Amino acid sequence: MIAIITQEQRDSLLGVEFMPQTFFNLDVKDINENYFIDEVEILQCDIQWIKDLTLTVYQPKIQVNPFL
Amino acid sequence: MIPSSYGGNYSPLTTNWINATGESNPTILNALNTFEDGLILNSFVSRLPVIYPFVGGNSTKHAFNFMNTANFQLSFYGGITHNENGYTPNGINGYARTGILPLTTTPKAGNSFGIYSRTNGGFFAIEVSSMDNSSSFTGNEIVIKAQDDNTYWCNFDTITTGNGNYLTNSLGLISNVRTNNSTRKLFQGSILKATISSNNTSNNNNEYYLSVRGYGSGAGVVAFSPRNLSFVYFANQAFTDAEIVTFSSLVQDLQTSLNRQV
Repeated sequence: MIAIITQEQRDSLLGVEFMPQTFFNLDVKDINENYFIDEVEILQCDIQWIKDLTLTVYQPKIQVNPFL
Repeated sequence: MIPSSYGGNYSPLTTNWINATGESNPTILNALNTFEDGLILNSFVSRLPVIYPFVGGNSTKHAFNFMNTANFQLSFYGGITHNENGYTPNGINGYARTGILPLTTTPKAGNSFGIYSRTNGGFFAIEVSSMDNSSSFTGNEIVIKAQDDNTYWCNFDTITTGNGNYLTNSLGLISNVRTNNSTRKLFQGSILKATISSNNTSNNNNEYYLSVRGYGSGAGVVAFSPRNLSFVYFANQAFTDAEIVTFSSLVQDLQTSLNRQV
């Protein structure tokens, strides 16, 4: 499960260390080109507005084989 | 240097670990100390600039490099679970940056790097990666078992050379060894699984990433891994076949001491 975030929300989290040595990954988008935060990140952080976000099923982009 | 198993306090690296992490669990400290003594006895210490033992169960302790706690501390990104079994990214957006540059830490003419996997199965995912860019497929990388069951790996060459279904499972210590300028070897534990003739023509020097493809500024977005790793190492020389037997035994004993062996 993930929570979709806006561009502005994404930008506000750049460089934020939400757990020791741990930062949000704000470079990945889902199949609909939305930025998101994963449920593991949501559980581990202590930022209330993130914990209030609505969870939805993650729909990944179709991956290109990275090995060939 | 007299190993601590012959009497006395913890050995130097374990002592440094205590000072850096505050670790006090005797099971963990004794396991690390025995492992360190094995490294000393076999003259491996200077050849291993980086080891992430993933002990202590949290992101702070998992970030430290056992061989030098001041260098190459990991930075974690995205969804990652840390517990007594090690480091487990979510396979969606979790990965780690090492700060390690290949040419200076794992020289072209001879090096070894590898991971201890506790997750079996094939995934569209990369475990250790330092590649030229997103499309050239040259550099240093290991995919221990992809969805097609093949192992994809390279060491200052191309990942399109030498891949194959070499491993019956994707458990334990998997090592990618650049033996010399023209040969690389794949080991699972102490067993040689593949020997490939391929010249080390790449001069890739982008940072190594864990659990995702890394290729400099564009890293962190391709082929996230869900594998639980409980050990990662980078060696500045090639291990010989005999040395891999010794080293893999030390690593397996470490995992057994921590009750997380596979």
